[in-house]
Amino acid sequence: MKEGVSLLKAAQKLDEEALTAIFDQFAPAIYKYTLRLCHDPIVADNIVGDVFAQLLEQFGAGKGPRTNLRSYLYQTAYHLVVDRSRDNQHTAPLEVAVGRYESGNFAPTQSQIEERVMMEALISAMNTELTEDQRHVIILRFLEDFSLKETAEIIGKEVNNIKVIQNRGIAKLRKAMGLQLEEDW
Amino acid sequence: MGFDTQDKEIVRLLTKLREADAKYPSDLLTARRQSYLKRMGEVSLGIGAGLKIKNALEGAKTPSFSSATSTILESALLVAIVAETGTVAYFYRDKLAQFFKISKKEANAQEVTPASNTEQVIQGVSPSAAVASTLPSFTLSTSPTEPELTSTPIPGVVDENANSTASANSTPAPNGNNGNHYGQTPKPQRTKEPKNQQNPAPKDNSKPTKTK
Repeated sequence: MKEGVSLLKAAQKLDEEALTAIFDQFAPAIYKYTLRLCHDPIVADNIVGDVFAQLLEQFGAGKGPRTNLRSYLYQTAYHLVVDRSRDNQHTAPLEVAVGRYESGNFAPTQSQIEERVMMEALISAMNTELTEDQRHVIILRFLEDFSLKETAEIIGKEVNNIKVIQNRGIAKLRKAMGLQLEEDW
Repeated sequence: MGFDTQDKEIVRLLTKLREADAKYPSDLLTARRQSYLKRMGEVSLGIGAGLKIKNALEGAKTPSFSSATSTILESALLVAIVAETGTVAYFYRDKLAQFFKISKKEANAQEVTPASNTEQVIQGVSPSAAVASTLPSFTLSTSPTEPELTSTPIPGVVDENANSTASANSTPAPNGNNGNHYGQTPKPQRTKEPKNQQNPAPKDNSKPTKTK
């Protein structure tokens, strides 16, 4: 199986194997990312379809990503989510993304229960306290593990701007969860 | 990037959130994959067809013309264009001549005729003998292109015009009357008596004074 640059080059030549490999590799991640943003599995699935349809069109036109395919796919997904969110404001909680978090048949320990409570508080704060930009940056930076530079590319802002947005987002989350943390400590 | 203790805790929780189990539902994923593969086939087909057309167009061209051959072909094309233009001009020569005549007439009609009273003497300025000798003298004659008047004749004027020769008269000499100049305009004579002559008592506009 081809990887990295060779995979991208093969995909640019519309190599079916490479294109299929790209879908298999990135579709679940893009779905997860989109679901975190729009909170709707059907919408997330549709966005995944649109992202890969656009990728095919770009490759067909001799365009498309030249270096960082992952960033490109996330960037496309980000723009699609933003476009949709302008039309329809989703306020559903992020629990969809973590609905089965730590689901298991075993009995949870005290620390696991506490962490679960913290996690739910965090998700709630992300949904209610953060601005759209802050939420995007936090998700890309800490949930999708993108670097500052990659996040800046995806969102289309300067790296310094991303830093500021990230710090403000974290500060807001900290403030929202302040009481909870203080109680725990 | 450095975070303080509380921020680190937030970041740790966020990182933990990454591991959240939100998998792509298999039915949705399968359907989406099928759709993607179908679209991929269409795009490949479209690109393939495009490439075939491109190749066909390239193949339709003769292998390779040398520069000499292309020069000869260009020259032949140029000769053919010139010959065709000449033939067309020959066949439509009458129309072309008529066209040029019309355009020439229009050009003549647009010429500006000089003013007839160039001999008008500016009062107070008498040209010197040298200047006068260089001044052009015009004799007016009716030009063949002058349009004929077809309007309704005025009896008296027609007779005068019939008897007179076709010489144009310049503006008559002022005879000491140069017109009205600033400060020399004569006052107009009154034709009506002013109304206040009948009521000679002028209206007293002065304010009445209070008498104590």
